[in-house]
Amino acid sequence: MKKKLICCFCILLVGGILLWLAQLLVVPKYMTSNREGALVGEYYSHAGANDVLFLGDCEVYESFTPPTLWEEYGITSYVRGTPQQLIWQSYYLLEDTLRYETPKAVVFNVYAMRYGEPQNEAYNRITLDGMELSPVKLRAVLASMTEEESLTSYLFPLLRFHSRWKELGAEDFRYLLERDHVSHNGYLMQTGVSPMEAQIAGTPLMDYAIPEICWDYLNRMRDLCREKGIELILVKAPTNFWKYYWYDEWEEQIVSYAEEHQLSYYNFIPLAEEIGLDWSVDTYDGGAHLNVTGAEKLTSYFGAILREDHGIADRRGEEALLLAWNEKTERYRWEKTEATHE
Amino acid sequence: MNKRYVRIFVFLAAFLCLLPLWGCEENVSKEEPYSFTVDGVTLTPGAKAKDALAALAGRNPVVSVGKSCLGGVDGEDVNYVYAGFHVQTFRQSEGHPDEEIRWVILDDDSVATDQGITIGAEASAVKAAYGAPATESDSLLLYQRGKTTLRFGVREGRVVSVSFTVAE
Repeated sequence: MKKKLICCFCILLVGGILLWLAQLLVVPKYMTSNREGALVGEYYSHAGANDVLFLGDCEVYESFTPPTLWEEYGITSYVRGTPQQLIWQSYYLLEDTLRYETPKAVVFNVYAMRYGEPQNEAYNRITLDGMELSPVKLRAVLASMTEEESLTSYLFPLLRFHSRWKELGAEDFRYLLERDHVSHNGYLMQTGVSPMEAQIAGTPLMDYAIPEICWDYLNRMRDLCREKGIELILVKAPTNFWKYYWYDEWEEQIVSYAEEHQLSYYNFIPLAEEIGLDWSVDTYDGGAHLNVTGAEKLTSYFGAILREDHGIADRRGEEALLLAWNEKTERYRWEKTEATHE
Repeated sequence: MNKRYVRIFVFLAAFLCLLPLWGCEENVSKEEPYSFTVDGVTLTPGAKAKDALAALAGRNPVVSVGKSCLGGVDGEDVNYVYAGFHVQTFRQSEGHPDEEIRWVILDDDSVATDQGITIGAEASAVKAAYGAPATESDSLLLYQRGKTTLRFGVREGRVVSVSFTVAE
């Protein structure tokens, strides 16, 4: 009897390990294409001692560079941005981050306030699959799922990605157990240059009201920050591309909210010239997002604000941080040099 | 004999009653969509863009491609900016045959709708030309026909924007 139990246990154990390995094999690795999918999971190896946390969509992870904040101001930071990150996902990523550390300030890019509903599975996966399994992740998944999705597929990604076995490539085997870092504390470097050719306004909308659910989650974010002694800072990145247009009507609502709740709000769109942005060289996709030179200019500008107006400390005098960040900035400079001299 | 005539009469009467319904259906299916015409080229939201864009090539548009955050794996929006107006399309990739017109937006008063409405026209002129709108507010006059929508943005009694789009 005892032998039978041990035998059953061994079979289950081996079966479980094989399923786990199969799952590791078929899930997308995001090491070469769609690198954005690797962003969320990278955080956990950099968690701790980050004084500023950035949350939001692609305007965030392609606009603010933590190595620049460190080099110029000694400010430690992490960008937990993902493509089309929805505000409820930002909220749960904040909760997730608070499991590891408590930053001095949370910077939230408000463009995501336009989305009041789950958008599509691809973007959900990219934001949620990288989260460590926890009650926070479960709440994030339940808040984000489209009608076609299931919680089970997030708990066991093998159920969702098993059909990828036909598409497996060298990348899937090479990165089976360990991944490279694709970002710089969450900043995804873009070195291309594609000038903005024309200033085109966004197409007219039928309704400019920011959805109620977005206000609800912004309130929750504000309350959570207040509870933890964190300053919540609202920003709008300086890009105003027609496909991701920031309407005056939305601006009015955010300004009003910030004033009512005494929050700092920085809309960088009208400050683009003051920041020093040149839309002929500081964008890699015709003005939709900043490239590395544009991001460095914006970060340098915002870093002064964080230091002078929000009192975020210079931590270059701390030995352990100095060593860690020297390594990060070395890698950052190397990648920038390699890419721009190709 | 009388029964035969009665049957013929009933059949004809039924046919005549049904005829208008058939006529109505024909009218609905042939409802002209709103479209914008320039240089003899008609741009209709929802229609394939290829031929119209080719015909307008001589206007040397500035082209702006808007990909999604995932780099266009789920298609891309494209803006073709001409003097006086711009056309926004959606396509799966560059050169895809199914590129579709989604918006036509007038940018200044150098161009007009087929009823002669330009940016700057009075809102009353819009109603005179197009009749009662489907939706009206202080800032919007919206008309719908077929699967297309024609929108006039209004401020202080004057048209500030004109756009043609696929009906939502």
